[in-house]
Amino acid sequence: MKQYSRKKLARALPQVLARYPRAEVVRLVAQELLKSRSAGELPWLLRETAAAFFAATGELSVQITAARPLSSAARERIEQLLKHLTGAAAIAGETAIDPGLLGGFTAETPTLEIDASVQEKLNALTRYARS
Amino acid sequence: MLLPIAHAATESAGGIAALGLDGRALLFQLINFGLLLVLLRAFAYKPVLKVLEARRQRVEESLRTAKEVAKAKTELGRQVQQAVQKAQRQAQTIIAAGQARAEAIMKEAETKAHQAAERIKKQAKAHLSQQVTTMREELRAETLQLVAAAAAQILGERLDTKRDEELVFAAVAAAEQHLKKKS
Repeated sequence: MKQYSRKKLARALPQVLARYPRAEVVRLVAQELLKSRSAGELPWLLRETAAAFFAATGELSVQITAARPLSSAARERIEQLLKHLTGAAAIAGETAIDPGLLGGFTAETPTLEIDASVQEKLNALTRYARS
Repeated sequence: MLLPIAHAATESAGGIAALGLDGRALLFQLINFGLLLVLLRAFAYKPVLKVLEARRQRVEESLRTAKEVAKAKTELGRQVQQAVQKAQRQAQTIIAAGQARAEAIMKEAETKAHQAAERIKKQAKAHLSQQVTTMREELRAETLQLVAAAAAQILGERLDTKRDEELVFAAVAAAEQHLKKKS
């Protein structure tokens, strides 16, 4: 089988996903990663694929995490901020709940990570105390 | 010298004979005496005088030698005394130098000990100060960690949905403000 660089593979995946059944593509990629013992690179591959998808379509995939369910107004403000920061035309993604954040939110995109959680502020305080 | 005497004796034979003296015998006596005198002078006096002279010279030599010995003895005594005095002076100088050196060594040792004590004191002070600083920093860090833990506990219990949303809006507003300032 011909070897492709990870970057090329990530760039090609959105086009492949558009042409072929998504479940089959995911299965083949997973099989290839396991065969080459590169399963640890899956998060990186997903991020690169999302970045390539964003570059090709202008649609930004984002994972927003909050301590409590966000209102639609709050989610809208966060998405506007992300559009402003990345220049994305549209935002697509999921919202997760993590009470460990205590308050605030985190937003993870292929090119950007925002941590505006209360837990991060307390972590910063602890890091400052240890420094 | 004897001829005038014999002539005189011959001329006066009539005179002294009257005294009961034999002039010819007297003349012979005089001649004998003169010969004896010449012989004694030639063979006895000279050697005796020579011996006496030699003895006198020896005595004089001995006296001179004795004087020289006495003089040498005096000189030697003087030299010995000078040497003893010199040795005493040198000994005193050496003792004084030794005492001065000992005092200098003691003073130097005292100074060094003082300096070492000061250094140790300073190091101990610096170490103590460092320890105090470290302890203060540890205490500060522990306090901040406790504050963070307490804040987490309190926020986890008291932060409701409304306040949480306010936090989200505040964070977004702060980010936007930051972006405006940057642009």
